[in-house]
Amino acid sequence: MTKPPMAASTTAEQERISEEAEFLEAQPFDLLAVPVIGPLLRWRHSRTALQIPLLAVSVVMIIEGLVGPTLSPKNLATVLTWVHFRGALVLAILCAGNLFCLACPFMLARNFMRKWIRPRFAWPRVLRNKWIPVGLFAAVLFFYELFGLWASPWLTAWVILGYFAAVLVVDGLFTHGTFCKFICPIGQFNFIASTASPLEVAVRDPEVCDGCTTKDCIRGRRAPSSPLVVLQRGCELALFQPAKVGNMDCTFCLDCVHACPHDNVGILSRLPAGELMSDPRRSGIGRFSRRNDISALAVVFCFGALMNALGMVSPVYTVESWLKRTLHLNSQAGVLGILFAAVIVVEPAILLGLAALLTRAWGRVKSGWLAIAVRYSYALAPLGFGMWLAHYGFHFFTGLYTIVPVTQNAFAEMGFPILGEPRWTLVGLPKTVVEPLEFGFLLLGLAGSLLISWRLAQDDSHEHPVRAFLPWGTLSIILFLCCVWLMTQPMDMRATMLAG
Amino acid sequence: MLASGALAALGCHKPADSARDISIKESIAPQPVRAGIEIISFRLVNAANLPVTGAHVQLEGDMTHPGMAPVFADAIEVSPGSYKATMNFTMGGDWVVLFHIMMSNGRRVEQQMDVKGVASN
Repeated sequence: MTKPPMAASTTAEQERISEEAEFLEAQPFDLLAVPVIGPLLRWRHSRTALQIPLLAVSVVMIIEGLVGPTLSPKNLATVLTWVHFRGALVLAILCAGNLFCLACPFMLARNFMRKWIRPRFAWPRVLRNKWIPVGLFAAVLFFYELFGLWASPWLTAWVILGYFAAVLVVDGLFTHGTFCKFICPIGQFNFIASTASPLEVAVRDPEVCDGCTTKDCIRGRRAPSSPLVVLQRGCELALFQPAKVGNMDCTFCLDCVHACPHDNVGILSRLPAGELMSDPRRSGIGRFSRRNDISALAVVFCFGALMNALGMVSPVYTVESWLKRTLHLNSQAGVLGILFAAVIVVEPAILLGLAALLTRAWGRVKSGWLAIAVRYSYALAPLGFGMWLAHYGFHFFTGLYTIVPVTQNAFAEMGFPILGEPRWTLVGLPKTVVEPLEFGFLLLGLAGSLLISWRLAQDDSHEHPVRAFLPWGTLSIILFLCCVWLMTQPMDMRATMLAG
Repeated sequence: MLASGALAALGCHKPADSARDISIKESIAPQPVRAGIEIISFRLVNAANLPVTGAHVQLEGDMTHPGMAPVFADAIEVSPGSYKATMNFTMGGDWVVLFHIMMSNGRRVEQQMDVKGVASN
């Protein structure tokens, strides 16, 4: 489906290609070259040092969730998970990259376990795709609504515990980074979101790799006397640095940085979302246009953002009541299931299918409609990310300081009121400050989606790029308006009225 | 470490602090409850069903979603054992109202009332 870019036929196109070449050839910013931060990240135990505090916080959250206050706004497990963690995660992805996976506490527990338990099995070939994590991602969104996880410290603690258990079981049985690549729903969220990040773990000088014979970045650094002994792990997610493109499947673990004997891997700046504007063959992934599973991930990521925010506004209850009356349904799971299926399966199937058919007809693109839909589905990722940013950023900023009284309360409840009486009136930034940020995030996402669609259309239809672009540009604008409408609705802050 | 922590915590899932000898019979108006000003009336009685008088009661409204601003209100005793407070529900959704009660003998008691499905305006 992907066609090689046509030779520059116009001055404008030549200028564009020239500008892009200049941008690509310019010396990128390298985070590893920054004083203090660079040496810290290049330290062999840097990841562990970042993981230990997060593991400690996870343990505190589990204990507090199980034995602490039952009221969600007063419990560290719920406040940290649903206010601070989610917001910090998306903001870190926006400003830098996939930093949560870098400091993932689950992987610290796994690495500890693997000192004694060596996995023996390879993940089945038929499951080496994203279908399971896409399903898990959708399931997480569904069960979050169904069980009102935000309101239950106890359930939140069990979700964290369950996550640890799943990591240990899967990676205790299967080799390499099976959980990260083929299971973890948080990881998939981070992977697709970080396609819009400004930083990427990448090769500094491709010519150095051309002369490399050991391929340590993927094989790991071996002991010279005993090649079976791995001194430094290579990429567990099968990303071969010289052929790696973008942030998909990259956990920022920095194993490749430590393994490269030529010190040729850095954390480099790049054009955010630029990796979605073309369709090269990617190491460990292949071409995006041939990966229906990753396309489905992008779709669930985008429409799931809408669904997750939809649960917070009052019109959803009207729809749910109507569904219950019309279908004579008394089951909350049933009503929610229908709503989820409508928003993250049926709606995207119709909208993307229609846009693909129109692009095929108007732009005279020769590919089939499904192939076009898959190819352009990635263009929706920035808009979806904008919506996640707007939503999670809202909770993060408006509840920024709630961590203070909740921590004060946790110490007081343990019998050590060393931080003083909880100041429950300490909340966060005012909505008047946060709301412009929300719309800024959405606009940023829209701009990214429009730009990617336009670039794909330029590559697909040299004669009629505008016609090829129009359906996807229109779809992006419609989805953007839906996001704006959602954000301007009076919040019902996740009432459980749908239970009836 | 995680497993032992979790196992130690199992069975420790404690309910909100409350005093069994003090009960509260509350009502809220107008109905249905909407975002904005609502009047919460309640009667405090002891185990013998006698009114609890002279208590200082502060109400705290929290949303079930973490990270939202709580609202506070002081109750006034309108007749022996009967109290009334004006609470401003700042947005729609599920609320929990905590009654922080300081009785005339200095004893502190906490009770809780769920206010589900406050409609937005």
